[in-house]
Amino acid sequence: MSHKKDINFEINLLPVISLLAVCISFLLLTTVWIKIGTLDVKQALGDSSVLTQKETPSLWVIMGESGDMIFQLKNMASTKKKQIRFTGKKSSFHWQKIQKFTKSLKHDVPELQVALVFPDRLTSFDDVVKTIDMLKKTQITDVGVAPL
Amino acid sequence: MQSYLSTQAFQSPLRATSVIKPQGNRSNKTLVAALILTSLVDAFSILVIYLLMNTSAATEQLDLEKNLTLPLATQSEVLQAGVVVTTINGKYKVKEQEMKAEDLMKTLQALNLNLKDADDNRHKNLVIQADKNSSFETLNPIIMAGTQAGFETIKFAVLPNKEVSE
Repeated sequence: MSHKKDINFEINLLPVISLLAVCISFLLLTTVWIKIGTLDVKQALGDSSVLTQKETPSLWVIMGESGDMIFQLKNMASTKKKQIRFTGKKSSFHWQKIQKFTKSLKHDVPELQVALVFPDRLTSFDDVVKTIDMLKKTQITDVGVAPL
Repeated sequence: MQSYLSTQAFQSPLRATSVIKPQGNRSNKTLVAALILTSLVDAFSILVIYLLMNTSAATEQLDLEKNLTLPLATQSEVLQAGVVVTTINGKYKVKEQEMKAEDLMKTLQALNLNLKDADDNRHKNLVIQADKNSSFETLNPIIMAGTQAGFETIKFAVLPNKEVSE
């Protein structure tokens, strides 16, 4: 009797599907959909402040209540204009102009690494974060926030 | 070798009851079509891979309050372990415990000391969680208390925002 055995065979896929379904359920339940990040700042002023101890060029960003933002350059050797004011419109900051300025500033003063932000008591948290974010974007690494 | 499905398949009940030409046991044709499971396994595999990729390697997570909208930032960093202070509607919360601004300093100082003694890395970071519309006036007591309590870095909780190319 010559019984020819078929070399094709079917793998039982049901356990594989079950396993994958369990994996999917577990991952769906444990995956974090809203990822929270952080924006790191250092203490700008005070006894334990690291930022104000060194005599390095620094940028002071003073945020006004009416949307005005003043940029002051400290410890600068050059005789360039050391204070620039951006007047806000309808008590909000003129972000486009400010962004353009910070970019050009970093280009002009590449050694600028320190910036201190001085928010007003009524400045919104969103605006403070936006300012820090903008400064970090221009490769100013040490950003501090001054308390009121 | 016989197919796995063929052993499980039912015979056609209509043909088996036919008077003229019953084909109950003779017929090899079945009513049940073999399901092609390969594509289903493929789809499941893609889903598993996608979900695995989406799973963050960072172990730290923050619980978001219901009425709290975090600000967006493009230069955000991965959340690290730290003491979390939440401020919402002018109230302050540390470890799910509501307190006044005056009590923040004492609480944070005690927490920092405990963490330092326990050699816990959280004593270095203070994470501030606040609504994007809250004023700096409400954040100021946390920053003041945090720096006085001995926290090295202040971290503002933000939602990462993809950078828009200009």
